[in-house]
Amino acid sequence: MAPQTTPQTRQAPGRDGLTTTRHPARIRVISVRVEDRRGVLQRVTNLLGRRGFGIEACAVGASAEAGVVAMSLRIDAGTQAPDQIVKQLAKLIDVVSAEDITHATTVEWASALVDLGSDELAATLEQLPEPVVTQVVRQSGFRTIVAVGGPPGAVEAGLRELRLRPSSTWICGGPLALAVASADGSTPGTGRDRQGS
Amino acid sequence: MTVATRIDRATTRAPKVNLTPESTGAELLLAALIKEGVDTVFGIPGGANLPIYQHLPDFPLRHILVRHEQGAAHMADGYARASGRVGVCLATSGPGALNLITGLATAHFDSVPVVAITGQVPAAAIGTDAFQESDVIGSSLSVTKHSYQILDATEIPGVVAEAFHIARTGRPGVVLIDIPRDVQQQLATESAEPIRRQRPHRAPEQPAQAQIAQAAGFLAAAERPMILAGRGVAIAAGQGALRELAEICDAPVGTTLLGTGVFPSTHPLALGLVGFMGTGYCNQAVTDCDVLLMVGMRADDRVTCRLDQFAPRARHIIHINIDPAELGKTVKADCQVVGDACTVLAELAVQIPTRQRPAWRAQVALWRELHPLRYPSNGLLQPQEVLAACYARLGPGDITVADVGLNQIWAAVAWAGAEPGKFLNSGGQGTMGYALPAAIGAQAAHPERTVLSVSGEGGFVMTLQELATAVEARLPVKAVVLNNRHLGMVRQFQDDFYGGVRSQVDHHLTPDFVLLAKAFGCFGAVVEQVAEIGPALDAAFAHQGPAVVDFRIDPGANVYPIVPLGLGLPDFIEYSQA
Repeated sequence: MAPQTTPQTRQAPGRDGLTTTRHPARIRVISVRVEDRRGVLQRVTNLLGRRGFGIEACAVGASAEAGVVAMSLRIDAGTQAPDQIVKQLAKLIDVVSAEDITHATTVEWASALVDLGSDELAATLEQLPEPVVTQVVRQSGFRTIVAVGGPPGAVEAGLRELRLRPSSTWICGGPLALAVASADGSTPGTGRDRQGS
Repeated sequence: MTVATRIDRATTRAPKVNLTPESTGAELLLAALIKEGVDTVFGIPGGANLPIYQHLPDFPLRHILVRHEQGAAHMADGYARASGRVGVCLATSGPGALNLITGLATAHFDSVPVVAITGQVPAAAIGTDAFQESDVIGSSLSVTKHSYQILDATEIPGVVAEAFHIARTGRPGVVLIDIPRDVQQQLATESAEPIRRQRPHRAPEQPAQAQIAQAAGFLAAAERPMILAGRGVAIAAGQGALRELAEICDAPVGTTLLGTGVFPSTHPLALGLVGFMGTGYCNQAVTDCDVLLMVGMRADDRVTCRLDQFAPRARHIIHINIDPAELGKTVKADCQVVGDACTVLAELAVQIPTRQRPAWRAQVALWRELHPLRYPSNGLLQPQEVLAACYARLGPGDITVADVGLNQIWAAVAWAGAEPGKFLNSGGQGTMGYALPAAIGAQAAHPERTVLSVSGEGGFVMTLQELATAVEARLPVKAVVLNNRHLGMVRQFQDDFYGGVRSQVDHHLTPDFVLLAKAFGCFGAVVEQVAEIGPALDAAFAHQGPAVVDFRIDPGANVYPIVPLGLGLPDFIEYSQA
């Protein structure tokens, strides 16, 4: 399969403005549910690296299901066949399901923590464009820590454009991605029907 | 025989059947192996697996003491390929575990069910760079289907049960179980919870009927159908269904290296080996067919050569594999069927009407005439002459294990058997040194059969220490060394594709294999003339123990046809052109 070069717009942008993220064609958004077992993250990342896929961002944490850890991955497929991401992940014994939700209607949410400099106001962050939200989470003495959330591109780009003072710092986590409807409009399944071989 | 031999059956004490309420982890492990039907294990004791070896004599297991852990992994692999059962190997921590890796990769690439059990430093010492500590889980991630590190002995029965299930189910593969020494000694009760999974590991469900119907339609309408078959057909025991379908469609059948034997080599529709060093007529048929069916194979670069020239006239390509990830990975088949090869082939045979295709058959016959397999006649010993004499001495159940290199291709192309599981080789990894230990493993599975190991002298010296294992365990493999005093395939590549610069391929010193064989307590003979082949083989086969026959073959013997690197299947060059 020849790599596509034209950027694709996500389907069905929602009114909340969170589903309009543009992805370069070779970036895939992958939702993986894995068993909560020792070493499972290593298995996933090792597999992707070995097969020539780059992990651009990754968010890992608890899910509503007991014993299941949810992973949201943004994968740079490079020149590899992108369908191999899900096919290979599904072969891992500890993977419960793996879905490519790049073309599904998806809400993606990135979070950042900003440590503002001593004399900088939290109000600076209000310049961040909608739908980015901010919340002061800690204020003591000279330091103000603000949580920032929003679409992945908007959070990171917004923080860069603010040109915060050198005394400030911030970190941005990998975005969480939740498919709310499949590319064909149906409600996404749990992926339990994936064949294990 | 000068070397003392003893079968290490470990049955000096009454076999242990029931465990006491409180058993050690090692005992739980050994009992779990028995429960899985294991009768033979290959391994070496060391500091981190001594508790297992302490209890080994209490259990009805045959332990074959190898001389290098790579040998243990290859033996477990050979045992598994020859028997269809799960092969088991044991190693200690650190270098012992890491020495397994090449053998595990070899098995895993070829979808062979092997369970490897490694000792580990005590749990509290993990991560401290303790003596003989190695991260065998991390090191083996890419060459195993799954792996476990057990930190609580109560988990052992459940892990072993799941490990064997995973190794043998679906697309078979390698599973590694790493057990710290103190966990092997931990007292635990026998009863243990099975591992509960969110998604139980299982074989794929029934293949999609829509795809099968589509494939049947493509094949029924084909004028020039062609079938390529791999080891997946053997794993699924689908050789009967393959033959039936080929005859229904009047379709010629080529096989991959690993598929050697899944279609009878003497069948009129058999075209032999496909790919890089495949037969000219098989590669020509793939190039000219209008519908190509690939079954139980991955279609790697050694099969396809240049991808854009693979089956260029095929209007439809059908690909059947039990592993969905193999579909569309290289060749983009327009009809992809996930499923067990036997099930799908049998279903296709039901749906497709019998039809003769005389024009296509005549065309293939013409290619056979135009591109026959040829080799020189220059007075020097030719490998084909040696192999023909070897194969003439084998019965239908006997097993040949080829090493890697020119010897492998010669042996595969010349192989005249009719059943899968009788010609074994390392197709995916191409691991030199595979043949001898894998043959020993196959012999352990089938003590009554003749097992032949075919190597070059380069590969043979990589693992020949296992001759000691063969003698000691009374596994009378017959090792045929096609000795050309070169790293032959590399030498041919240098001659044909790298400007003729011969760099580091000459074996100026090869050992005296007769003396070497005798040093290990084996029969040894050397053959330099055609007339000596028969008598030497007869003597080797008549010898009760392992034998080594050193055949001094033509050092210039090459494999032809061959597809030049970077070119496509139709660009094969033949002996006459060379």
